[in-house]
Amino acid sequence: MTEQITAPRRETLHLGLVLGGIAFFVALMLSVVNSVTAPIIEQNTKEQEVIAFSALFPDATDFKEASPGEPDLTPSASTAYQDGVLLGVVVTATPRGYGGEMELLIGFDTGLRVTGIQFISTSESPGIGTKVQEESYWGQYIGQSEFDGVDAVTGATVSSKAVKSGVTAASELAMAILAQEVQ
Amino acid sequence: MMEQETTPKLSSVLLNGIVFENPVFVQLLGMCPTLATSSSVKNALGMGLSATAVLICSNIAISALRKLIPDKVRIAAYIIVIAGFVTAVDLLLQAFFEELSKSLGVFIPLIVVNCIILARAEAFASKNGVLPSAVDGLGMGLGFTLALLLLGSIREILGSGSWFGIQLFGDSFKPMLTMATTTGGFLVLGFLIAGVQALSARLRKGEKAHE
Repeated sequence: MTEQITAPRRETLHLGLVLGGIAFFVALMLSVVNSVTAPIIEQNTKEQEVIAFSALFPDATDFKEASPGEPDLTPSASTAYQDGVLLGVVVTATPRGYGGEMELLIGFDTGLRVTGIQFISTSESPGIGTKVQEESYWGQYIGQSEFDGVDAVTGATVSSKAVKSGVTAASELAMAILAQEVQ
Repeated sequence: MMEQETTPKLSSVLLNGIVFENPVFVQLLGMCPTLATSSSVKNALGMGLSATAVLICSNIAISALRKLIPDKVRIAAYIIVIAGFVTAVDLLLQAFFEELSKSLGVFIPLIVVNCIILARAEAFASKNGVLPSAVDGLGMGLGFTLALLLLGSIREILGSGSWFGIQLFGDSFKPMLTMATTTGGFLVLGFLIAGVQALSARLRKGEKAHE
Protein backbone atom coordinates (compact mmCIF):
# COMPACT_ATOMS: atom_id res chain seq x y z
CA MET A 1 0.00 0.00 0.00
CA THR A 2 2.74 2.46 0.86
CA GLU A 3 4.05 2.49 -2.71
CA GLN A 4 0.73 3.85 -3.91
CA ILE A 5 0.95 7.01 -1.82
CA THR A 6 2.23 9.66 -4.20
CA ALA A 7 4.98 12.06 -3.28
CA PRO A 8 2.85 15.20 -2.69
CA ARG A 9 0.48 13.22 -0.49
CA ARG A 10 3.35 11.83 1.48
CA GLU A 11 4.73 15.32 1.94
CA THR A 12 1.39 16.65 3.16
CA LEU A 13 1.19 13.79 5.60
CA HIS A 14 4.70 14.56 6.82
CA LEU A 15 3.90 18.27 7.32
CA GLY A 16 0.75 17.42 9.25
CA LEU A 17 2.55 14.90 11.43
CA VAL A 18 5.35 17.33 12.33
CA LEU A 19 2.93 20.13 13.21
CA GLY A 20 0.71 17.71 15.11
CA GLY A 21 3.69 16.38 17.01
CA ILE A 22 4.87 19.86 18.00
CA ALA A 23 1.34 20.82 19.04
CA PHE A 24 1.09 17.63 21.09
CA PHE A 25 4.25 18.37 23.07
CA VAL A 26 3.30 22.02 23.59
CA ALA A 27 -0.11 20.91 24.87
CA LEU A 28 1.58 18.41 27.16
CA MET A 29 3.82 21.11 28.62
CA LEU A 30 0.84 23.45 29.11
CA SER A 31 -1.20 20.80 30.87
CA VAL A 32 1.65 20.31 33.34
CA VAL A 33 1.97 24.08 33.93
CA ASN A 34 -1.79 24.42 34.24
CA SER A 35 -2.08 21.63 36.77
CA VAL A 36 0.43 23.49 38.95
CA THR A 37 -0.97 27.01 38.55
CA ALA A 38 -4.75 26.42 38.36
CA PRO A 39 -5.32 25.77 42.08
CA ILE A 40 -3.06 28.73 43.03
CA ILE A 41 -4.87 31.08 40.66
CA GLU A 42 -8.25 29.99 42.00
CA GLN A 43 -7.11 30.49 45.58
CA ASN A 44 -5.69 33.95 44.73
CA THR A 45 -9.01 35.03 43.24
CA LYS A 46 -10.94 33.78 46.26
CA GLU A 47 -8.56 35.42 48.72
CA GLN A 48 -8.80 38.72 46.89
CA GLU A 49 -12.56 38.54 46.95
CA VAL A 50 -12.61 37.86 50.68
CA ILE A 51 -10.21 40.77 51.35
CA ALA A 52 -12.23 43.14 49.16
CA PHE A 53 -15.56 42.05 50.65
CA SER A 54 -14.44 42.42 54.24
CA ALA A 55 -12.94 45.84 53.46
CA LEU A 56 -16.45 46.96 52.50
CA PHE A 57 -18.16 45.30 55.49
CA PRO A 58 -15.56 44.75 58.24
CA ASP A 59 -18.22 43.49 60.68
CA ALA A 60 -19.80 40.99 58.32
CA THR A 61 -19.54 37.33 59.27
CA ASP A 62 -21.22 35.88 56.21
CA PHE A 63 -21.73 36.72 52.54
CA LYS A 64 -24.39 35.16 50.33
CA GLU A 65 -24.79 35.29 46.57
CA ALA A 66 -27.83 37.37 45.77
CA SER A 67 -29.76 36.56 42.63
CA PRO A 68 -30.93 39.82 41.09
CA GLY A 69 -33.80 39.71 38.64
CA GLU A 70 -32.13 41.78 35.94
CA PRO A 71 -28.50 40.98 35.30
CA ASP A 72 -27.80 43.66 32.67
CA LEU A 73 -25.09 46.14 33.75
CA THR A 74 -23.85 44.31 36.79
CA PRO A 75 -22.77 40.68 36.72
CA SER A 76 -23.07 39.78 40.39
CA ALA A 77 -24.10 40.90 43.84
CA SER A 78 -23.85 39.46 47.32
CA THR A 79 -25.60 40.27 50.54
CA ALA A 80 -23.60 40.75 53.75
CA TYR A 81 -24.76 39.52 57.16
CA GLN A 82 -23.51 39.83 60.69
CA ASP A 83 -24.78 36.89 62.72
CA GLY A 84 -27.85 36.57 60.51
CA VAL A 85 -28.67 40.29 60.48
CA LEU A 86 -28.59 41.94 57.04
CA LEU A 87 -25.87 44.60 56.86
CA GLY A 88 -26.04 45.53 53.20
CA VAL A 89 -25.18 44.53 49.65
CA VAL A 90 -21.91 44.22 47.74
CA VAL A 91 -22.39 44.86 44.02
CA THR A 92 -19.90 44.27 41.22
CA ALA A 93 -20.03 47.00 38.60
CA THR A 94 -18.18 46.96 35.28
CA PRO A 95 -18.39 50.45 33.76
CA ARG A 96 -16.31 51.40 30.72
CA GLY A 97 -13.41 53.61 31.69
CA TYR A 98 -10.84 55.42 29.56
CA GLY A 99 -8.71 52.33 29.01
CA GLY A 100 -11.46 49.73 28.86
CA GLU A 101 -13.69 47.96 31.31
CA MET A 102 -13.18 48.55 35.03
CA GLU A 103 -14.29 46.12 37.70
CA LEU A 104 -15.47 47.73 40.93
CA LEU A 105 -16.94 46.31 44.10
CA ILE A 106 -19.29 48.73 45.81
CA GLY A 107 -20.79 48.18 49.25
CA PHE A 108 -24.20 49.61 50.20
CA ASP A 109 -25.70 49.54 53.68
CA THR A 110 -29.39 48.88 54.23
CA GLY A 111 -30.12 52.60 53.80
CA LEU A 112 -28.49 52.44 50.30
CA ARG A 113 -25.55 54.56 51.47
CA VAL A 114 -22.13 53.63 50.04
CA THR A 115 -19.88 51.94 52.58
CA GLY A 116 -16.86 51.76 50.29
CA ILE A 117 -15.50 51.11 46.83
CA GLN A 118 -12.88 48.50 45.93
CA PHE A 119 -11.09 48.54 42.59
CA ILE A 120 -10.66 44.96 41.40
CA SER A 121 -9.23 45.68 37.98
CA THR A 122 -8.80 48.84 35.94
CA SER A 123 -6.83 49.83 32.88
CA GLU A 124 -6.84 53.60 33.34
CA SER A 125 -3.88 55.78 32.31
CA PRO A 126 -1.23 55.61 35.04
CA GLY A 127 -0.94 58.85 36.97
CA ILE A 128 -4.12 60.28 35.44
CA GLY A 129 -7.11 57.96 35.40
CA THR A 130 -5.68 55.89 38.24
CA LYS A 131 -6.29 58.86 40.55
CA VAL A 132 -9.92 57.76 40.85
CA GLN A 133 -8.54 54.81 42.83
CA GLU A 134 -7.23 57.17 45.52
CA GLU A 135 -9.34 57.69 48.60
CA SER A 136 -9.46 61.44 47.98
CA TYR A 137 -11.74 60.64 45.05
CA TRP A 138 -13.74 57.56 46.00
CA GLY A 139 -13.97 58.67 49.61
CA GLN A 140 -16.48 61.27 48.41
CA TYR A 141 -19.02 58.49 47.82
CA ILE A 142 -18.93 57.12 51.36
CA GLY A 143 -22.15 57.69 53.25
CA GLN A 144 -23.88 59.06 50.15
CA SER A 145 -26.90 57.70 48.36
CA GLU A 146 -27.06 60.52 45.81
CA PHE A 147 -23.93 61.03 43.72
CA ASP A 148 -24.53 64.36 41.96
CA GLY A 149 -22.29 66.22 44.38
CA VAL A 150 -19.21 64.04 43.71
CA ASP A 151 -16.45 66.05 42.05
CA ALA A 152 -14.54 64.52 39.14
CA VAL A 153 -10.73 64.29 39.25
CA THR A 154 -9.09 67.06 37.21
CA GLY A 155 -7.78 65.61 33.96
CA ALA A 156 -9.54 62.31 34.53
CA THR A 157 -13.10 63.19 33.59
CA VAL A 158 -13.74 59.97 31.68
CA SER A 159 -12.49 57.73 34.47
CA SER A 160 -14.43 59.72 37.06
CA LYS A 161 -17.61 59.52 35.01
CA ALA A 162 -17.12 55.78 34.60
CA VAL A 163 -16.85 55.27 38.36
CA LYS A 164 -19.91 57.45 38.93
CA SER A 165 -21.98 55.56 36.35
CA GLY A 166 -20.83 52.26 37.86
CA VAL A 167 -21.83 53.34 41.37
CA THR A 168 -25.18 54.68 40.12
CA ALA A 169 -25.98 51.45 38.30
CA ALA A 170 -24.86 49.42 41.30
CA SER A 171 -27.08 51.49 43.57
CA GLU A 172 -30.13 50.65 41.47
CA LEU A 173 -29.32 46.97 41.67
CA ALA A 174 -28.66 47.21 45.40
CA MET A 175 -32.07 48.81 45.84
CA ALA A 176 -33.74 45.92 43.98
CA ILE A 177 -31.90 43.34 46.07
CA LEU A 178 -32.64 45.07 49.35
CA ALA A 179 -36.32 45.26 48.43
CA GLN A 180 -36.24 41.50 47.77
CA GLU A 181 -34.46 40.77 51.02
CA VAL A 182 -36.85 42.79 53.15
CA GLN A 183 -39.86 40.89 51.82
CA MET B 1 25.86 14.86 7.11
CA MET B 2 28.11 16.88 9.37
CA GLU B 3 26.95 20.07 10.94
CA GLN B 4 28.45 22.83 8.83
CA GLU B 5 27.45 25.87 10.83
CA THR B 6 29.83 28.57 11.84
CA THR B 7 29.36 29.16 15.53
CA PRO B 8 29.12 32.90 16.14
CA LYS B 9 31.04 34.36 19.06
CA LEU B 10 28.72 34.26 22.04
CA SER B 11 29.80 37.58 23.50
CA SER B 12 29.17 39.39 20.23
CA VAL B 13 25.78 37.68 19.89
CA LEU B 14 24.88 38.95 23.36
CA LEU B 15 26.11 42.50 22.70
CA ASN B 16 24.35 42.56 19.36
CA GLY B 17 21.00 42.16 21.04
CA ILE B 18 21.65 44.65 23.81
CA VAL B 19 23.31 47.44 21.80
CA PHE B 20 24.06 47.20 18.09
CA GLU B 21 20.83 45.49 17.06
CA ASN B 22 18.71 46.58 19.98
CA PRO B 23 15.20 45.40 19.08
CA VAL B 24 13.52 48.64 20.12
CA PHE B 25 16.05 51.37 19.31
CA VAL B 26 17.64 49.91 16.19
CA GLN B 27 15.32 47.29 14.69
CA LEU B 28 12.17 49.17 15.77
CA LEU B 29 10.42 45.88 16.52
CA GLY B 30 7.64 45.37 19.03
CA MET B 31 6.50 48.98 19.14
CA CYS B 32 3.02 48.15 20.43
CA PRO B 33 4.03 46.52 23.73
CA THR B 34 6.88 49.02 24.02
CA LEU B 35 4.58 52.02 24.06
CA ALA B 36 1.79 50.35 25.98
CA THR B 37 3.77 48.95 28.88
CA SER B 38 6.44 51.61 29.35
CA SER B 39 4.17 54.09 31.14
CA SER B 40 5.56 52.83 34.45
CA VAL B 41 8.87 51.19 35.34
CA LYS B 42 7.20 48.25 37.06
CA ASN B 43 5.14 47.33 34.00
CA ALA B 44 8.18 47.86 31.76
CA LEU B 45 10.28 45.47 33.85
CA GLY B 46 7.52 42.88 34.01
CA MET B 47 6.93 43.01 30.28
CA GLY B 48 10.65 42.95 29.47
CA LEU B 49 11.39 39.96 31.65
CA SER B 50 8.32 38.02 30.46
CA ALA B 51 9.27 38.60 26.84
CA THR B 52 12.89 37.61 27.64
CA ALA B 53 11.75 34.32 29.20
CA VAL B 54 9.59 33.50 26.17
CA LEU B 55 12.36 34.56 23.79
CA ILE B 56 15.00 32.33 25.38
CA CYS B 57 12.66 29.31 25.60
CA SER B 58 11.31 29.67 22.07
CA ASN B 59 14.80 30.23 20.62
CA ILE B 60 16.06 27.06 22.34
CA ALA B 61 13.07 24.97 21.25
CA ILE B 62 13.09 26.22 17.67
CA SER B 63 16.85 25.80 17.35
CA ALA B 64 16.61 22.23 18.67
CA LEU B 65 13.80 21.43 16.26
CA ARG B 66 15.24 23.29 13.26
CA LYS B 67 16.24 20.11 11.38
CA LEU B 68 12.82 18.56 12.03
CA ILE B 69 10.62 21.43 10.98
CA PRO B 70 9.85 21.41 7.25
CA ASP B 71 10.36 24.76 5.54
CA LYS B 72 6.76 24.97 4.32
CA VAL B 73 5.18 24.96 7.76
CA ARG B 74 7.96 26.63 9.72
CA ILE B 75 6.01 29.80 10.62
CA ALA B 76 3.07 27.73 11.86
CA ALA B 77 5.44 25.59 13.90
CA TYR B 78 7.16 28.67 15.39
CA ILE B 79 3.83 30.19 16.36
CA ILE B 80 2.71 27.00 18.13
CA VAL B 81 5.95 26.87 20.10
CA ILE B 82 5.83 30.61 20.96
CA ALA B 83 2.14 30.51 21.89
CA GLY B 84 2.82 27.55 24.17
CA PHE B 85 5.55 29.36 26.09
CA VAL B 86 3.54 32.59 26.29
CA THR B 87 0.57 30.75 27.76
CA ALA B 88 2.86 29.09 30.28
CA VAL B 89 4.36 32.47 31.28
CA ASP B 90 0.87 33.97 31.50
CA LEU B 91 -0.33 31.20 33.82
CA LEU B 92 2.78 31.44 35.99
CA LEU B 93 2.40 35.22 36.30
CA GLN B 94 -1.26 34.84 37.25
CA ALA B 95 -0.32 32.30 39.91
CA PHE B 96 2.78 33.89 41.42
CA PHE B 97 2.76 37.59 40.40
CA GLU B 98 -0.92 38.32 40.44
CA GLU B 99 -0.66 42.09 40.72
CA LEU B 100 1.80 42.36 37.85
CA SER B 101 -0.30 40.05 35.71
CA LYS B 102 -3.30 42.30 36.28
CA SER B 103 -1.50 45.50 35.41
CA LEU B 104 0.00 44.01 32.23
CA GLY B 105 -3.35 42.54 31.28
CA VAL B 106 -3.76 41.69 27.63
CA PHE B 107 -0.14 42.51 26.75
CA ILE B 108 1.14 39.19 28.10
CA PRO B 109 -1.00 37.05 25.75
CA LEU B 110 -0.03 39.49 23.00
CA ILE B 111 3.64 38.44 23.33
CA VAL B 112 2.59 35.63 20.95
CA VAL B 113 2.48 38.11 18.10
CA ASN B 114 5.44 40.17 19.31
CA CYS B 115 7.52 40.45 16.19
CA ILE B 116 10.82 40.41 18.12
CA ILE B 117 10.25 36.79 19.05
CA LEU B 118 9.15 35.58 15.62
CA ALA B 119 11.94 37.60 14.01
CA ARG B 120 14.60 35.97 16.19
CA ALA B 121 13.12 32.50 15.49
CA GLU B 122 13.26 33.14 11.74
CA ALA B 123 16.51 35.10 11.54
CA PHE B 124 18.60 33.37 14.17
CA ALA B 125 17.29 30.27 15.94
CA SER B 126 16.36 28.47 12.71
CA LYS B 127 19.93 28.84 11.45
CA ASN B 128 22.07 28.44 14.58
CA GLY B 129 22.80 25.92 17.30
CA VAL B 130 21.03 25.70 20.62
CA LEU B 131 23.60 27.56 22.74
CA PRO B 132 24.06 30.59 20.45
CA SER B 133 20.27 30.73 20.05
CA ALA B 134 19.78 30.79 23.81
CA VAL B 135 22.38 33.57 24.11
CA ASP B 136 20.73 35.46 21.26
CA GLY B 137 17.39 35.18 23.07
CA LEU B 138 18.99 36.48 26.25
CA GLY B 139 20.70 39.37 24.45
CA MET B 140 17.61 40.44 22.52
CA GLY B 141 15.48 40.03 25.63
CA LEU B 142 17.84 42.13 27.73
CA GLY B 143 17.98 44.75 24.97
CA PHE B 144 14.19 44.88 24.94
CA THR B 145 14.03 45.03 28.75
CA LEU B 146 16.67 47.78 29.00
CA ALA B 147 14.95 49.85 26.32
CA LEU B 148 11.62 49.46 28.12
CA LEU B 149 13.21 50.37 31.46
CA LEU B 150 14.83 53.49 30.02
CA LEU B 151 11.60 54.56 28.34
CA GLY B 152 9.56 53.64 31.41
CA SER B 153 11.86 55.55 33.78
CA ILE B 154 11.69 58.75 31.74
CA ARG B 155 7.93 58.48 31.30
CA GLU B 156 7.20 57.65 34.92
CA ILE B 157 9.53 60.31 36.38
CA LEU B 158 8.20 63.07 34.10
CA GLY B 159 4.64 61.82 33.91
CA SER B 160 3.91 60.85 37.51
CA GLY B 161 6.89 62.19 39.44
CA SER B 162 7.72 58.74 40.73
CA TRP B 163 10.06 55.83 40.02
CA PHE B 164 8.95 52.25 40.70
CA GLY B 165 5.94 53.82 42.39
CA ILE B 166 8.11 55.77 44.86
CA GLN B 167 7.32 59.50 44.89
CA LEU B 168 10.47 61.47 44.05
CA PHE B 169 9.36 65.06 44.35
CA GLY B 170 7.33 67.13 46.78
CA ASP B 171 3.84 68.43 46.17
CA SER B 172 5.18 71.41 44.21
CA PHE B 173 6.05 69.08 41.30
CA LYS B 174 3.48 69.27 38.53
CA PRO B 175 3.71 66.05 36.49
CA MET B 176 3.62 66.23 32.69
CA LEU B 177 0.49 64.18 32.20
CA THR B 178 1.19 63.70 28.48
CA MET B 179 4.16 61.49 29.35
CA ALA B 180 1.89 58.80 30.75
CA THR B 181 -0.10 58.63 27.52
CA THR B 182 0.88 57.07 24.21
CA THR B 183 1.67 60.53 22.81
CA GLY B 184 4.38 61.01 25.40
CA GLY B 185 5.62 57.51 24.72
CA PHE B 186 6.13 58.30 21.02
CA LEU B 187 7.90 61.57 21.87
CA VAL B 188 10.33 59.99 24.32
CA LEU B 189 10.90 57.02 21.99
CA GLY B 190 11.73 59.38 19.10
CA PHE B 191 14.28 61.31 21.14
CA LEU B 192 15.83 58.10 22.47
CA ILE B 193 16.16 56.60 18.98
CA ALA B 194 17.79 59.81 17.75
CA GLY B 195 20.17 59.71 20.70
CA VAL B 196 21.11 56.07 20.14
CA GLN B 197 21.70 56.71 16.42
CA ALA B 198 23.93 59.72 17.14
CA LEU B 199 25.87 57.73 19.70
CA SER B 200 26.45 54.73 17.45
CA ALA B 201 27.41 57.02 14.52
CA ARG B 202 30.03 58.65 16.73
CA LEU B 203 31.26 55.22 17.89
CA ARG B 204 31.63 54.06 14.29
CA LYS B 205 33.51 57.23 13.34
CA GLY B 206 35.87 56.67 16.26
CA GLU B 207 36.50 53.12 15.10
CA LYS B 208 37.35 54.31 11.59
CA ALA B 209 39.73 56.96 12.87
CA HIS B 210 41.50 54.25 14.86
CA GLU B 211 42.05 52.20 11.75
